[in-house]
Amino acid sequence: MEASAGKVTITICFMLAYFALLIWAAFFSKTGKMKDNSIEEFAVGSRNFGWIMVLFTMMGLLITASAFASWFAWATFEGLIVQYMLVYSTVGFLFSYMFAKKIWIWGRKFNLLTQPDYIQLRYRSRFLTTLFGVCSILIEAPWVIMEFAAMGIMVEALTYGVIGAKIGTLVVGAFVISYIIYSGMKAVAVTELIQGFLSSVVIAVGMIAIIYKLFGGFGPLYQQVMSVSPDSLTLTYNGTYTYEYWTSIIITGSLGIMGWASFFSRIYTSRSVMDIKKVSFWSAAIGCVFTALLLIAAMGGILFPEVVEAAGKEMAFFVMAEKAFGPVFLALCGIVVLAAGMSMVSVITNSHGIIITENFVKPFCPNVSSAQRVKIARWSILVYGIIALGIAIGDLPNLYTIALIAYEGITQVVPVIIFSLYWKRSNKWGALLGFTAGLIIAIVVAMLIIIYGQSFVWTGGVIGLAVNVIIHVICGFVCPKDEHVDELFDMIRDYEDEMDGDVKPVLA
Amino acid sequence: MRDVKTKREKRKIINRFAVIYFAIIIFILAFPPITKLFDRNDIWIGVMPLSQFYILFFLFLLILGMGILYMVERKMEGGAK
Repeated sequence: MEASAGKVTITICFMLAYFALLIWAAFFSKTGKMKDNSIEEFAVGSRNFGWIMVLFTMMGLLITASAFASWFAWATFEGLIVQYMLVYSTVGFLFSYMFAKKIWIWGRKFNLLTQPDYIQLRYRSRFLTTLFGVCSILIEAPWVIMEFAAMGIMVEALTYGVIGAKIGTLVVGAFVISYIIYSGMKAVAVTELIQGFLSSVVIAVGMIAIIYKLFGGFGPLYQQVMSVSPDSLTLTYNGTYTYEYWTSIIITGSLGIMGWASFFSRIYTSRSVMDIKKVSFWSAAIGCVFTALLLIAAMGGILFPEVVEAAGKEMAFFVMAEKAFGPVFLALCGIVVLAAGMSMVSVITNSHGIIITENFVKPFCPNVSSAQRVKIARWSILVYGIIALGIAIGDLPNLYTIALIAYEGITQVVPVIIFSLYWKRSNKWGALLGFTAGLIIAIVVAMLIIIYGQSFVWTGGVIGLAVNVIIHVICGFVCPKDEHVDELFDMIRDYEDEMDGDVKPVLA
Repeated sequence: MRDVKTKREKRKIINRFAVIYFAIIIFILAFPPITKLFDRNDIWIGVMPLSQFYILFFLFLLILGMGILYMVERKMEGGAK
């Protein structure tokens, strides 16, 4: 991308306008303001978000800055294999549709705010709860740091170097942290609404326009890709990948969505079970269409040498945008990518701040009031944000690799969640031993693959998952059933009866 | 009470049917031998190769299933939000 004073001015003007809009939304709009100073309001917006708000916070799980940078570049180089994203996100939202009901009901009944809160309710083990809290933060934090760094790089690229990457990271990061501290999940949701809406319009309209402008339509795009790089139109890319690899990344990816601690925060913000189901359906539908358009356009990048060259620096998306519609569209695309990064970072940071408060601090100060917990959460978010920003502006050796290994780890949370929802015999020993074994296997195998180039038919995440499940089931049969579990499951049955017309008010 | 029981039974049947339907689609999308079968760039369906059509078509069926399931459940819960 060649710089000129005009292009720089356009981009900076767009960025300033966008930030002005977000400042208004987060700090001055009625929707973004906290109604009271309670931890429930700060953490999950008093469980009263409309489905549209929850939809865009949910979409933030999928549409990240990395999707426009790394995955777009990967699709340019190797085509169809990257569409595992399409499959895993849709299947992931299907899991959210099927499994979120009990999480929401118990969350509402027992005022749960975090994923470790849920673990404590179901397994009644302080150690397991703390372990889940620590692992959630350790596993997810690299993604926050990576997104912070990526946003800085985007700012540098979009301003053609006028604003450096580190300054960009600090400015955007400080802005995100400040609105989370100000109004917690409320500010996060209202900014996500704007970010999500903007991304939706730009991707849906923009990608179709790019495909028609640069390639002459979908058919010509596939035909041209077929003539230049036929391997891009196969899942194995001429034997580079196996079908088992395709299966592995879909399994770990789709189950991984449920493993994110911030996924629970999103569920708890919803008003009702049916809202969560509606959100899951629309997230799957919209996410699938957008990701498909993005990755199909990315595949066409192989036809342009300058896009291929830019893909090496993960800038293919921007080069293609500028090539199609010039600097104004490029600036819009830049804002979409920034929005995607901010969206992911804000939900995770808020969720981690609440985990620190509720699961690490509160057990030691049980008498602390709700307002004091909000204060602690704000300080936690500030300290967490400063540390993350500090690492993001330093050198980041292998952070991307660490984040990918971490994702294999997230998957190990899922058997614990699913068994806890559907199997009364699931107990803390199965959860603890299965999770620990699965995590160790996933990390060791992933490191062997990365360090020694040792290849396995299945990824570490899938092997760990299998061991995790086996241990969990064995412990379920060996150890006695927890006494409180029947009561929890009866509550779900009562809720269903209530919805069917019975009079017992479960959530009163 | 009988009405509640009938609804519970109905919900059970719908859930079982949905689980089987979704499991089949996920199996088709992610089971290696089946994926291999569809991973062809020498057969074209309309404007796209079979490998691409396969992904989009089965995902469409998955989303369609979710939409129908949502509508049925909503109707069962008396239009609850």
